[in-house]
Parts: sequence; structure tokens; C-alpha cells
Amino acid sequence: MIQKAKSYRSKYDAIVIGAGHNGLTCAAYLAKAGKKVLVLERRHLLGGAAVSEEVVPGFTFSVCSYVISLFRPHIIRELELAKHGLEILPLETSYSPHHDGPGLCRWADSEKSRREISRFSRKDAEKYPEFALDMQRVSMFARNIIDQKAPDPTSFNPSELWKLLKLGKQFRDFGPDFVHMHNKLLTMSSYDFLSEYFESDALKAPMSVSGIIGTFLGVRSPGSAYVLLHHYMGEIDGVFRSWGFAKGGTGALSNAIGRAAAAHGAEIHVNAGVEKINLKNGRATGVVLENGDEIAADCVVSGCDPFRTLFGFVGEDNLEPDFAEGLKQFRMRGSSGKVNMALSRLPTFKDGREGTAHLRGDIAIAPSVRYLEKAYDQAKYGEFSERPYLNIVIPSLVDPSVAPPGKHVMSCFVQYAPYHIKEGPSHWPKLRDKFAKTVIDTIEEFAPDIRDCIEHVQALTPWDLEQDYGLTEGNIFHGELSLEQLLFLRPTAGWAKYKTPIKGLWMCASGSHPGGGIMGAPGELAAKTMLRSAAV
Amino acid sequence: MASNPNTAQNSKHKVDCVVLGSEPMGLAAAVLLAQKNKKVVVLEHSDTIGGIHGSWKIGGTSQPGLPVPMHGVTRAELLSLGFGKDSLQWDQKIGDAPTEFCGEDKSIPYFLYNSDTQAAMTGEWSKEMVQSFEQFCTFISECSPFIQRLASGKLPNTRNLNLNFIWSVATKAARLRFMGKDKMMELLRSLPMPQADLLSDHFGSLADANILKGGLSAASLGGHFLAPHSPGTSANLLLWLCRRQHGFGFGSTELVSALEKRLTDLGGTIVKAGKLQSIVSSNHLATEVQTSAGSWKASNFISTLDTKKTLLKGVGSRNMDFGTAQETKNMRMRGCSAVVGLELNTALSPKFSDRFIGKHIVFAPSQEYVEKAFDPVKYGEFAKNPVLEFTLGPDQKSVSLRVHSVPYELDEKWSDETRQQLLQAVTKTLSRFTSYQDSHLVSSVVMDPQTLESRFGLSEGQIFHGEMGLDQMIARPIVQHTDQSSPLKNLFLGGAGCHPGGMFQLRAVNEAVRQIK
Amino acid sequence: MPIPTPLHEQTKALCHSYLWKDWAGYYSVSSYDIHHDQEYHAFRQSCGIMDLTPLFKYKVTGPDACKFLSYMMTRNIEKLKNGASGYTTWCDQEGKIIDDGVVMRIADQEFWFTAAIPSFSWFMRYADDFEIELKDITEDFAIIGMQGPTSRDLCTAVFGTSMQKLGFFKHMPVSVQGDQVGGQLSRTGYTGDLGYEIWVEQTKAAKVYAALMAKAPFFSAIPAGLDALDVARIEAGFIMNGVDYHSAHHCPIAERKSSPYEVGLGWTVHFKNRGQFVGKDALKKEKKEGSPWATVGIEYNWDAYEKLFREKGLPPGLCSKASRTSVPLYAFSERQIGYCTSSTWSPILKKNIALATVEAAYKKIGQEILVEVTVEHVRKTVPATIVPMPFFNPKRKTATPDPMAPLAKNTGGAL
Repeated sequence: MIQKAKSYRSKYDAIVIGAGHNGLTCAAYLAKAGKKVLVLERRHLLGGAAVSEEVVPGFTFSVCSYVISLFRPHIIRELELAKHGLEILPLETSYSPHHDGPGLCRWADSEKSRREISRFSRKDAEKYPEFALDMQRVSMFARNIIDQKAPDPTSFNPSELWKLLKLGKQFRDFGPDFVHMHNKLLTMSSYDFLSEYFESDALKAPMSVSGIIGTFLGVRSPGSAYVLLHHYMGEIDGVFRSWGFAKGGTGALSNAIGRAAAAHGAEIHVNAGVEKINLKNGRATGVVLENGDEIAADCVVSGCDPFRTLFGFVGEDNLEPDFAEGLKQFRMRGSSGKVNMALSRLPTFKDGREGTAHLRGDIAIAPSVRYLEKAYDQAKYGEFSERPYLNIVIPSLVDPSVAPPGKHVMSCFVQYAPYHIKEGPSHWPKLRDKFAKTVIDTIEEFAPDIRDCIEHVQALTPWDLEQDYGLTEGNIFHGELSLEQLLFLRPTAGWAKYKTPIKGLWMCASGSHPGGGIMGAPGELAAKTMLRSAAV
Repeated sequence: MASNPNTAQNSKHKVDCVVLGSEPMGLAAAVLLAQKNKKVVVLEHSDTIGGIHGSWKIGGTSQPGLPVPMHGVTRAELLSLGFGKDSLQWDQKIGDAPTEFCGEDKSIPYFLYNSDTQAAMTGEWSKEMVQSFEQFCTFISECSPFIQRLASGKLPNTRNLNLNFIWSVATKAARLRFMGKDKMMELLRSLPMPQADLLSDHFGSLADANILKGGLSAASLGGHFLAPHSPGTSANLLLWLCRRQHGFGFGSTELVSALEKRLTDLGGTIVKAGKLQSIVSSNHLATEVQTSAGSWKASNFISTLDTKKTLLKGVGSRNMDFGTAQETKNMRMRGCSAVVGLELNTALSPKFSDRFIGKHIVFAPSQEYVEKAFDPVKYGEFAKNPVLEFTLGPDQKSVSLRVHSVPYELDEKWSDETRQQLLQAVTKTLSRFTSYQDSHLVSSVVMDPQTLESRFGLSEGQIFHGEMGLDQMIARPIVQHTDQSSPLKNLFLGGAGCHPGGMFQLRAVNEAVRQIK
Repeated sequence: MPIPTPLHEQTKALCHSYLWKDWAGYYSVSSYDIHHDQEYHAFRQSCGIMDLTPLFKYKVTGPDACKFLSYMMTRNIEKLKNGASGYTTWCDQEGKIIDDGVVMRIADQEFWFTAAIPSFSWFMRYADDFEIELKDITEDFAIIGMQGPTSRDLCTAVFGTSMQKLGFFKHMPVSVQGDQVGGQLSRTGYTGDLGYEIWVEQTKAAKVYAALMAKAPFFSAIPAGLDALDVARIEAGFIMNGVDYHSAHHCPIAERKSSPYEVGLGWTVHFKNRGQFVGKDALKKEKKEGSPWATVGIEYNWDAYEKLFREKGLPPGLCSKASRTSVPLYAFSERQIGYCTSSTWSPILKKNIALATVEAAYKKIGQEILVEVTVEHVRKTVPATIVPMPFFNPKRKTATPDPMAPLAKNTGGAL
């Protein structure tokens, strides 16, 4: 699949820069439609931030993203990814340890969950399934928005108005309170929204925090409620078990998409970093590689974030000043880091629970709302959280292929670690060890023997995410998922349909609608838009 | 009190209209009704007419309440209340009463925020700052007509997506579009942002913009349980700035006295009626209001009390549908401001300049100051370095302060001791930027949010009758009743809890009065 | 994973088939034997003893307890006398049924009631407006059911003669061997027959169960599981939450919700001489305008049914257990007009019967419709008739014996 010889065609229909999961998805759809596609990847393997690497011999880390929560099921079907090796293993439990007592674990078994939640509040335990139903209804609606191009309410184009009217009708179909529920989800904080249903802190803390992953928001920040939906959207696609992680790590997903693309005739080259995009009369005509090779194409699609694409590969001098100013306001602002560990054995959580069933899903270090909010407060002032929120997964418990027998991989997503620390981002490497220590100290409060289990630690600060994985300012979504940067405003007003002001240059990654979260949707929608407009 | 008829228990009365609450909007409602020849009575539970805007005592002297400049009042509105030139200094423009953002730096001692003229800035401002500020003012004045239209118009009813709704949204959209595509995008983009981001877009990280950013955050967000980094606060900022485009310089206490006199002249009465017990109803019609002092029958009722009190205490959750009761219970009313009055023996003056120029003074030297002051409130503590907003009495010896980021539920519980600690935080902060010294203090009154609740009837001490987070602005006070209606056909909701919320505004009251035939 | 009830050790020892199911998160016996036949026959011929502990149970006390329940329930609770119980539904504001259960009036201002699904949160939503204390007593009490013609005699042997006169839907405190067991003996049940249920404090449950099991052989009483109960309750025409209707709170779409009128429980909705209650306005409107759906009982035409199997050379297929599979019902025009929600072969009536939801136009007694039957993998239809419910309603269910009548013979010295 991955070419060894660096020989290129004289001209391609499309060159895709970056073999991240969106770039690969876009390439696959274009190739499937019969186009001659070339994918160029700077690193030595596919995936971008959706990647698996054997950082320590025998251990496979999902280095950056670690769950596949929202990958669109229809893409899995249309690209036949299962045939190309994608297996998704379910993440069914959600465990939140406390400093005292057994903590709270939510299970696939609803009666068991009810009993657990009842320990904190009987009312909450009973309202929990009702909340899920409400969220499912909104998710059914939100799904429509994700799977289509962003509606543009500012355009008077008849087709846009028609789309808006249809959207309005959908609102109506859901009942008189639906618009209000929807508005609340868009504008409230996840904590306040959850407080309308639940009373116990032990339940609200882990539920609210799934709302702020990858954002620069706290659980009490307005606007964080909408991301609560993510989990439930994964549930309604649940028949595909898309709420889970890939066997072999997240990279297995990227590899499967790569194979699908190659099966349709796409060429994929690694160790082929792009230096810049060639322009002629304001039109993209191909790319120049870091090694000097020039490759021509009818159009170029970038699977990188908007800043890297437009300020990096194109260059600010080649952009209209107004557009450049507008784009500069697109906020990147990474807020998270990652610590991956190879363990000689499972650590022992001091919760008194028997067995490991509660550790096979995600483990959230979110013992209280106060804890989470304090972690956020620090980030506002340019510090990483002394006691951060951690989202931990031990995939080796379910997938034996990622670690030697009896040993384990522990993947820790860490928030908050602001890219813009007060000493300046380039100071991050000096803080890396302290950062890793903070994470391990935090885990130690719940699993006192963690240090005895550690064979190797890999710590990725936002700086490392930028330098090594191409994520500007370490933002895992290629740009914040805040309301003013979504839909028709993503990445900037007027350019939300995957086109750029440079003719022949398109964008297909998370910096475009509908945004990040390993959905594959931007890649697919970009390809379909390009094909429909006969750009390629 | 203008009049104080029989306050014996079980006294019964009958009038055309009852208005609950004598704060300025209640009085205005009564005046408008009296002008329609209705026999109207205003029921007030406390000793003070005007609620928090009335006069209250500190030590031996009567303090002018909590006067805030009357932004957002129009000439037309004052005319509609029957005010001639001699009853109010209503030709005093807003420019005569600027807001002064006070600094603690000799080089930039203050920033006068005033919409009429460019800021009378003193000190050495950088060229970039002057330029940025000009562009910012242009942006505000471009957005202003639209924001003001939003504030003075009706809220679209999202529970009924009929033609009316489509029309309401479409006309707003058209007006927005009329601004020009670029400006429209900029405004749409700006509204959901955190204030910190909006101001950083306009001012970058210019050091001399700190005082402006801090002052704007303090003035627009104080009392709303929000801080500059909270998304959606740009909407609060734009609302505050755009409503400042017009208004008057006189304070709310002057307005209260003027309204009181006008009402009495028209034959209306204000009664000290004790606490509200219930609004009796049958078949979804209100029949009488019962208080601890008696009962009042009427054919129509307007309540300017906060919505929780009106609906849950007054009407009773059993007399409305469950969704309405639930939505009312869910309203976020977390009071987070305290009111402090100081009586001094020496006139107060700023530390870094000669005298206070503004009528409304704010101390919040930077955005980070405001954000840091806000953090403790989330954990049941008050800020040791709080944000202060105040006005001075004519001799500059009496100070009326609003202290922000003071929680309703204090972890340590409100008591004389904790109120004293709050006072200390306030006076310590005052001495940072004013001539204040402890020896100047003659007496003080500290009203934490719980005291505000018991004294002025504000649920949870929330001075705006409901936090103005984005979700509570677009469905205000509750989604089922954004049009001044209530579960009872002849009970109307006016007051600060209604759209557009916040300061004195006649929109809701006008709409309520209009519906009373 | 389910958890055991306080009676688990005892029922486990008796459940030789190892057939269990999950009822509200508890282990509950499906049938003690490989097949539930004997247990069903015990319900109808002698007495079946059941562990009903997984029912949700609540206690309301306080000066407003009666007012509160009258506000929450469709039934006028104020009319309930001390020592009496009433079956009721409760609905949401739109008049859609949330659950059904039995309310026992223990004292003027003390009520206990049951529910099929957890209901604490629903009742607590309204509790603020009343001066009451609502307690979830689900885990405080076990419930043991004794259902069948010899159940009275069994109870007399264990609880004493004072319970002989206990009338239908009445309850009273009892003791076992002089020990007050902290609960109530209630003449209620889910089999539509003579029967009793005893609420007993959790710590004393095992003792009471042992006492019952000790006397059981004298009255041919045996432990009975949920499979047998399902058959009996269908014969009795009793609907079940989650099977024949769905709680409004658990319906993802509005279409799935039902009003009491649509599930044949319109009789539990009282309007006369009472104030406001939750759902009143919507229910009144529906009563006036009629409901789009109705719950009815149907009886398969046996001859036509037998004929379908005979054509294939097979004896008629009888479902060995009650079924909850949705089976379509058609009008003769072949348009689907409803569906069966619970169906079973009734051993005592020797008929195929079912509880069904049909469009209101088809609910008349005597209406003929078609029900789907699958014979050798091919779908066919068979005529069926709407019949009155309950299908089985013996006199002994409500009869209270003459206190002077002789006690049961052949008790072998048990009494």
C-alpha cells in the first residue's frame, strides 16, 4: 500500500496533504469516484493524531487520540473499513474513583448503574435514563447537522433558505419545548444544564467533564453543555458500537481508511513532507516537498489545520489582508496534553472493588465539580493544573494486541495544559517532566502503587503536539469548538464549505465543519463537495 | 410612605389594578395605569419605597440608596410617564455622568467611559491604544441600532414555531443583514464569545488597555455570576455598551422620588403591605393578592417582583402546568453582589488624580483582576480583592457600593463576623486607589445577598431578578412567558426579570400595561 | 448483574431448574421446575407462593399525605378508608400513564404504595408543595405472595384466624408465632384469584417464608415463579408496565405513550368531587373526545387455528410459555389495526388468549379481527374475537367466607 519508490505521476487530479484520518477519508472518497489521488505524509506512518506507535518495544500506544467515539457509521460502511481491518471494541463502563469509598461506576447494565447512582442520590438514579432519552432526541436532530454541509443562515440563496426551512420543520417535529432545550444546550454550562436534572456532585462531575474535553472551557463555563451530546450521539449509533476504541489502537482506524483508499487506487507516500503549495496566478497547481520534489495536481486538499495550511503552506503574503486578519482570529489555543505509559502490571485502585470489570471502560479522575473547576481556574492564568482532570483508558484489558501478556498500556488524556503558559509556549519542554510527575502524582492518590508499575512514560505537552504531530498550538480539534467557530463560521466566515480563497485549494480536516472528534465527516463532506462542484 | 392606610390584619381592599413592588418599574407601571384612569395601588413589603433604589439609612443619615445612572431610558419614555422638564433633570445627558474606570497607576489614573465623546483619557496613551479604541467605538456604534432593536423588541416565542415566529426571526435577520455582510458576520461571531476574547481581538495585549478591559468587564458582568472568560459575555458587554448610547445622567433614586410624586398626583397610592402571601386565583384568573397586612381584590395585576417569587410563592406551582413550574424553579438566580454603604467624615477622592469626575465609579484595574475576583464565588467564598462599583453622595462623604463576587451561600455562613470581614476587604481595596483611611469611617451598613433577600425581597439576593447568561437572555424570564403573560390571564409580569433585563427599562411594563384594557 | 432478595437463600435452594430472570435488578425465579405448569396449576387449584420483593414500595406520611396522593393519583385517594387499598394509575401533565400500583391506607395520614418502575423521583418533584415525608421503602420490606384457592387456609395456619374475614382489597397487620412482623397482610394479587400478599420487614422475611413453607404441604402450596404468574395475570386481564404499555418517562417518541383510557384503566380516573390532580385537564379532554387506541382481550378462533396446523399434518402448536412478542392484528381488509402485547395458552380456559392494543374503532366486544400465526415459518392469519376481560374471574376472588363456616377439612392437624 505505501509506495517505496518515490516516483510520481506527471499530474494528479488531487493531492492530499497529510495522512490524518480526514485526509485519508477524503482521498478514499475521491479515489472511489475514479480520481487519481496522491496522499503525502510527512511522518513515517499514517494517522496524524489518530495514530498508533510502538513507542516501547512490545507496547502499542494510541499516542494522541484514544477513543473512536463518533466515527460516522455510514463511512465505515461505504469504505468497507471492516473488510480493511477495522475492529471497534466497546467502551462500556465509565468509572470515576473517589478519594474515599468505591467511587461511582456507570455500567451497560442499567439496573446496576441505578443501584450505584442510588448510593449518592435515588432521584438522580431514576432521572438518569430520562436524561439519556432527552439527549438521544436532541442527538437525532444534531446528527442531521453533522452529516451535512453547514447551513448558512446569512445567505439569501434560495437553496440555503430551503435548507433552513427544512431544519425549522425538524425542530417543530420534536415538540414545543425542543427549540428551548436546544438553545439551552448551546448556551448553558454543562454543570448548570446537568443541575436541572441531577443533584449529586458525584454524578455531575464525571458527566459534566465529558463536555469539556479538548476545549478551553470549564464545566461551569457557558457553552459547554452542547458537547454533552457527543456521548449520546455515539449511543444512537450504538448499533455499530462506535463508542469504543479500535483494536490495535487508533492508528488501526487510519490504516483501515488508508487501505480502503489504496484499494480504490489512491497513492500514499510517507516520509514525504510538504514544504509549500505551488501557486500560479493565485491558483494552486501542486506542491513542493521538503526534499525539493515538485508534484502537479488539478487541486490540492489540505488535511492539516487552517493555520498550517494557509499561513504555512500558502504563506500570508499570498492571502488577501482582510481574509488573513479574519483567519488570525480563529482560536487554536490547545488546552490538553497526553501521558502514555507502559505498565508491568495493573495498578491497584484503593476503591475496594473486586475484579477489573470497572476498569475496562474509561476511568475519569473527576471526583468533584470543585476539583474540575479549580483545574480550569489555573489554566486561565497560564498554568497547567496542579491536579488535572484525567481521562484514562487501559485498552490492553480488552485488546491483548497492544501489550505483552500480563502487561498493560495506560493512556491518560490530561486537562488542563494550556499551550500559552505564562512563560511562553517554547518553555514547555522544560516543564515536561514536571507535567508528567503531576499526572502520576494525581493517579497515585487513587492507585497508590502506580509508580511500582511503570516501565516507561511518554509525556506529550501541547508544544510536543504542535512540533511532532502538526497540531497548531496543540489544539486537538484543529481549532476550538466554540459556538463562534462552528458551522458557517468555521474556520472563518464565508469559507465554511471546504473551499479557500485560493482557487484549487481545499480543506478537509477538523478545522472545517463539523469539527473535530474523529468523525471522518469533514473528510467525506469535503470530497463530496469537491466532486459535486466538479473541481476535480 | 406616600400614604399608609389601614394596615391592620385582614383589612380588605378593592381597586382596579394592583402593582406588586415599588421599585422604579413598579412605580412606572402604576403611573401608566393611573394615566389610563385606573384606580391603582402599589404594594411594597418594606419601609423603603423604591426597593434597592430607594433611600436607606446608614447610621444616622439617610443614604441615597443605590443610585445607578439611568442608561437605556429614552426621552419618549419619560414623556410617556408625564414628566415635564421641571420634575427631573432629564436634559442631563449621559455625557454628563460618565463611568469612571479607576486605576491604581499614576501614569493611567483613570479612563472615563462615555458614549458621547471619545473618552477623556488622561495620561500617556499609546498610538495603538487610541487607534484601537476608535475602531472599537466604531464597532459599537455599528452594532448599536441592532442591539437596541433587540433589546426593545419582543422575544420570539420558541414554543410556537408559527408564521409569527418566522416573521419575527426573519425581520431581525433582515435588519442584521442590512448592516452589511461583513459587519453582520462580525457581530454574529462576536456575540457568543467570551468578553476576554472579543476585547483581545480589538485591543490585542496592549498594556494600556487593561484598565478599559477591566472596567468594562466589571461594569457589564457584575452581579451575573459570569466573568470575562465565560463564553457569551460579549453579548452582555455589547448590551451594556449599546444601551449607554442613550440615557440620562440622573440616578435611580431621583427617579424613584419623581415617580412617587407623579403617582400621588394622579391619585394612585403606595401601601406598606407586608410580605406577599399568595395571589389567589380561580380558573386561571387572579382574584386577589394576600399579604400579611390584608388583601387586595382587583381585575388586573402587574408584578415587578422577581419571577420565582411571583410564580412560586404568589401563584403557587400547583396552579400552573408542570413545565412552567419546573422552568421557574430552574431559573438561575444566584445573587453574587453585596451592597455596602459607608458614612465618612472626610470627602473621598482618588489617589492618583484630583477628584472623581465620573458619577459612577468602577475599580477593576484589569481583566485578570476581575477574573480572579470571580473565582472564589464558585467555591462559596468572597474575593479578598473584590470588584467595586460605587457612587458618591453630593458631599462625597457618603459612599454607596456594589461589591461583586460575593456569594449568596457563603461556606462560612453569613454572620456579623463574616460581614465585618467583607467590609474589611472592601475598605482595604478602597485604600488602594482612593484617599480612604480607616479613621475616616463613621458608620457602615453591609448587606450581603441574604440580607438583600430579606430586606428587599430579592430572591437569593439576585439584583437583576435573574442572571443574564445567554440562555436566560433569550428566554426571559421563562420560555413559557416571555411576553409579560403568566399562568393567570390577568396577572402580568413586568420588572427587571423580563426582557431585556437588568437596569431600568420600560419595555416590559409598557407591554404589560398595554394588555390591560 | 442482579442482586439477591432477602429470600434468595431459601428460593435458591428450591429452584432446582436454575432458571432465573432479572426483575428490577434482583434475581427472580422464572420457574422452580423446568416447566412452569405445576406452578400455574397451584395458582388455580391450591396455592402458589411467590417472592414479590422486587416491587418498588413507597411510604407517605405527614399532615398532607392524603392531599398529596390525591393530587398525584388518578384515583380519588380521599375516598379510601383506613385498612383499605385501591388500585390506581398516575399520569403526567399530558394525561399519559407513568405507572400503576396499589395504594394502601394504613392510617389517616399514612399510605404505602407499590410501583413497577422506580418512582421516587417523580413523586418528589411535587413533594415541595405539600407537608409530607416520602420515603422509599423498597429495600425495607420483602413481599411474599400467596395466591390460589387454598391461600386463605394457608394464611390462617401461619397468621391466625383473625385474617379469615379480610375482605378483597383490604389489609391488616399480622404476626407470626407471636412476633409482629412489621408489615401488613393485604388481600391483593396479580393472578386475579383468591390471594394475599404479605409485606414483612426485611429482617423477618426469611422467618415468615420459612413459616409459610412449613405449612405449605398441608394445603398443596408450592413456590411459584414469574413464568406461571405471567399466564395467570393474562387470564386475569392484567396489563404490565413495559409490556402492554410503556411509562411516559421511558418513551423516546410521543406515539409510544398511552393514557389510562387506552389501557383499559379509565375506571381508575375519578373526576367527581375532587380538586386538581396531575393530568386532570388532559384526561378530562380525552374522556370527552375519546381515545385513538384501546386495550382489549382477544380469543383466537380455535377451529381455524387447529386447521392451519392440521393442513401441515401437525397437532396445534401451543406456546409453552406466555409470550410478550408483538403480534400484528389485522382488519379483514388486511390493514394492520393493532397488535397483541401479551399472549398465552390458557390452561384453565383451554383457549389461546391475548391482551391487545387496537385502534379504538375495533374495540367493541364481539368485533372480529385477524391475528397473525406462524406455521412452519410461514405467516398466516386466524380469526379472533374481542372478548370481555378478565378472561377468568372466579367468585372466590372476592368472596369472604361466613366466619361460622367450618374450616378446611383434612388439615392434618395444621391448625
